[in-house]
Amino acid sequence: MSKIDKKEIPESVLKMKKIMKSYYFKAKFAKLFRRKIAWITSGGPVEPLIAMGIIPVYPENHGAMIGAAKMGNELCQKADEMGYSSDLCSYARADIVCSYTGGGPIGGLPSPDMLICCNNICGTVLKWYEIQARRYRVPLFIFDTPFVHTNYTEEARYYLENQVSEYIDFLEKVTGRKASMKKMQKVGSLSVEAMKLWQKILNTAVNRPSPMTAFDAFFYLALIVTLRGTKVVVDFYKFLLEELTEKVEDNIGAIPDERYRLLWDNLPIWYKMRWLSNKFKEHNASLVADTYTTAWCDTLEFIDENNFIQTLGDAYSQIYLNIGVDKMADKIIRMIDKYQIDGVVMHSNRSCKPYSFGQLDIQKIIYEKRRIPTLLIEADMTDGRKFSDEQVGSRIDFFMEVLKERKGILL
Amino acid sequence: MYILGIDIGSITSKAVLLNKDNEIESEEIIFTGYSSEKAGEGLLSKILDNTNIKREEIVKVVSTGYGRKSISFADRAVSEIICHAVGAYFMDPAIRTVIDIGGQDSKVISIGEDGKVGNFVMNDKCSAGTGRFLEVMARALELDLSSFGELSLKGKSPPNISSICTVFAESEVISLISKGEKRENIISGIHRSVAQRIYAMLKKNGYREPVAITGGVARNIGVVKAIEEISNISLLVPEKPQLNGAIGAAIIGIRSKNFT
Amino acid sequence: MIYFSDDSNNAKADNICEIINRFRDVAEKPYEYACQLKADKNIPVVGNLCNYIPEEIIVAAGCLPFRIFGESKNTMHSDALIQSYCCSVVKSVLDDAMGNKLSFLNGMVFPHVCDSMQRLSDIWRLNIKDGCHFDVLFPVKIGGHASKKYMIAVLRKFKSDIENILKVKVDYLSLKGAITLLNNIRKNMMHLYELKALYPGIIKGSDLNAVVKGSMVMYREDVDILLNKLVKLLNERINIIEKPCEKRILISGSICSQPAIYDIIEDQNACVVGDDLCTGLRNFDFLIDENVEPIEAIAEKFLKRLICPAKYIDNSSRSEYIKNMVKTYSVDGVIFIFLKFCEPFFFDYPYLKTELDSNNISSILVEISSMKQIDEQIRTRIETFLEIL
Repeated sequence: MSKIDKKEIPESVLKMKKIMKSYYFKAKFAKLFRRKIAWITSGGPVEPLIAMGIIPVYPENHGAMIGAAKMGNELCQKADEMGYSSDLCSYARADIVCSYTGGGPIGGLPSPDMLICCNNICGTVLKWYEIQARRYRVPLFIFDTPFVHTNYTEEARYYLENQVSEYIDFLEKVTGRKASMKKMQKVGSLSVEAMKLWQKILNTAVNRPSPMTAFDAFFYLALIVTLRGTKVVVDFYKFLLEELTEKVEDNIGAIPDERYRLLWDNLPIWYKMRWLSNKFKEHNASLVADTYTTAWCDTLEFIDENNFIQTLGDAYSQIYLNIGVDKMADKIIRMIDKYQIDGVVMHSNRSCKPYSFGQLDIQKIIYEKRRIPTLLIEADMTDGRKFSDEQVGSRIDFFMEVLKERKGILL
Repeated sequence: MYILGIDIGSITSKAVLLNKDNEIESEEIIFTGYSSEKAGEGLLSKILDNTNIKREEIVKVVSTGYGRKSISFADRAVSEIICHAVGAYFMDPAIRTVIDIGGQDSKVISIGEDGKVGNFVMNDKCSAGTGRFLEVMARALELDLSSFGELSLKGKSPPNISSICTVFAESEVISLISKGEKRENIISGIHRSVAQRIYAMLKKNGYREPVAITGGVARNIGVVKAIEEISNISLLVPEKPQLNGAIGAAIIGIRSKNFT
Repeated sequence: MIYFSDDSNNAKADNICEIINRFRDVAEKPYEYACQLKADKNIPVVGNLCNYIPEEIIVAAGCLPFRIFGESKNTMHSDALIQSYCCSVVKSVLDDAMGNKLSFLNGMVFPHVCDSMQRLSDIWRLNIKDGCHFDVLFPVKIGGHASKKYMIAVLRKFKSDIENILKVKVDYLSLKGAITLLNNIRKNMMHLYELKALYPGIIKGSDLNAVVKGSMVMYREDVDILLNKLVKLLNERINIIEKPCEKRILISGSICSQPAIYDIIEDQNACVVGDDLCTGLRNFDFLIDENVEPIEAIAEKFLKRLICPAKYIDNSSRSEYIKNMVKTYSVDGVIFIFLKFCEPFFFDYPYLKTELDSNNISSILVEISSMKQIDEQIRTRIETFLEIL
């Protein structure tokens, strides 16, 4: 088996960094380009924004960058000083501080002309965006996606359809321009195409060895989150898919000696990505799949491509975080089978209750149905003060040993 | 030919020497102190003194526990999860769940019919279900920890100690002392608190009987009874529960050597 | 044991003390009360954890809307199902259910408010088989045509669900009757609060708290009878001279199930003249329009007077509401009492504090757990705050 030259950075990484840089540049100087900026939640319906030439900016993506740049601790400390309880979501706290101090890795986000808040990911965003609406004195639109505990109800569907009209009215009012249904449809198609490509990219991990790990996926995810609906995303993902397909053909794995295939659940621990990646690599374990990146292509089944704008409510309200715990467990079981998973690693994320509460039930269901062990790591996605190297490290060691023993390798 | 199993815990370190017939030739327990390495060396020399065998006769050394990687003369380091499971399974292959309450860690481990670990759960970040918790409480009560077991059996109405954080629980205990609460009752309440944490872990992990309890805290009859009461399970307590990890380590050594 | 098998028992509570004790008995032993009520009157009990539930529909269905505050003081059952970074109300209620203390429930209603409540619904549905499960998801944004239509649809669905599942009938007349009954209870509660604000010594804070809690748990017809009596009797006491109140306090938060807070405040010659609590005035300070179609009227109630941090109205309603209360009740200081891990309230706090500060209104924040007694530290902080007011 040929090995990857560790010193060589894949072209896709360089390309992606360039695209993200250009995107943030355009956002920072939006006024010069006579464009309006909308801050939007990561699960929010961005397609109408793209269609109307509004630049979407993602405070959560900013939160991830803050975590990855290891600036979370300091910003969260300041949030404490501002009076925000340290039990609150670290993305929100860090972002709120940055909007006052201009801190963070890119000197703060460009000010919004409008705020779009979709609560399909959590209720925290409702409060976060209310606070920012007060701070920036700009209009706020809330896209309320009722939780789908068991079934998607008729009343929810009508509610969402009505809200789509309200949303478009809102955008027309704020921009002073008329929305073009044709453009919206086009953007919708590009969005669907991007999601299909993203799914294909994640599918490459089915191969043994997998050409990419969840850590790679966390990196490449940024495009489908931020620029979904644009051609740039489609073109890039086509390129990435080719790169990965080549690796599969050459039998190149993301880690040199893949013996254990793991599934990651919940948001990444942004400030410990390399540490975690190396830790698992030491144990010859590859995190081949995860539930977080899957969320951006998982609702394809609900979208009517020919009627994108009208049916976007169906898709946005049935994402992974907006459905019942038993449904989440079903999805994980399917992934365990699809990717041939040996063990599951769950991040019990203090900042994300919708993602973390229910994990204990899911853990039991996984063991009942597939008899594989789950490791629970308690931490926070951006606030590093809640991470213990010693404790997490030894739990990972224990977990890996259990997996080794099960494969008859230990004894 | 002998195999040595060493378990370096956060409070105590244990060693067990097995002969080729899987019998315990010698055993030792000492306080770990500052240096895991020194503790390991200390154990080795005590074992050699006890038995008068030569170092070369020990053909394999397997270490486990918190300080397992610091034992330079160990041939292999294995996690305590595996070792406790192996140790318990060796004691009785019918055992399906092990509760291990150590110095700074508690665990619930499921064992399959083949003796392999199925699933395991460990204590949360700040949890009151460990040996360290009991030590802190013993200090607050100005008692020897070894007296806890017997005293608690005299406790009639255990007060509820609700904190899951050791520091806050200590405040609660001090508050109870100042209110004149009887020591036996307080200790009983402390044991209940430990038992509640362990019960939650049993439920989290899922368990099948028979359930064994190992680790230093298993010698505390008060804790054992409290867990039995709350969970309604009859617990199996090995004769020397502290040694379970070291026994497991030694058994792993024997297996890998393919002794017949 | 508390018996409410016929009206004559309520008639026996003739004086203020007896009435308050009746409420207190129920508030302190709600689960026993519910079991007894079921045994005596065969009334289905529908549990809930929040004000945003269709109380009128439940009453119209002949059921008891039973607010659950959570009794468990430890979490050994719930620890196996939910992580530690969860509020004490969710934990203790889950613990009660897993410990078989809530097996008398015929149904349980889960609202859409905070993330913990949302996931509690799933965890409950997967692990607890007592009673049937209703997810009643009101809109999160208030205002706009879409919200209203959706709200009405949700209420209608709940009505037909409760009819089908509990085999009860909810017709126009019973809805009207329920609205009138609950409106009367609210009028009386508001009147009690007014009396308390005007004549703080007329009823102890912890007593009023007991009445409020009891009225969220007790059979509503009995609540109505008792409150009618209580209001009448208290009105007769107005002219009795009492100790003046030196410092007028407003309590703001979600669930304050610790009556000790009121005692601590009153021990310092201060008094709670009003509250902004879910388990307080916010549950009562509105009336449903009795001249409009019932379901629409219920929807209007939520859409018009909603003051809850878990919902979005606009950017300033909550702070205006609190500032207004401070003015109306001549408040000297505000004590925020929050449950640890409660996001909606904690997110609002810095903003509310800033608003109060810039209006020269003193405030303090106290973080509690519903599973623990008020400890020395909190007591000291409140006493100090009151001293320096």
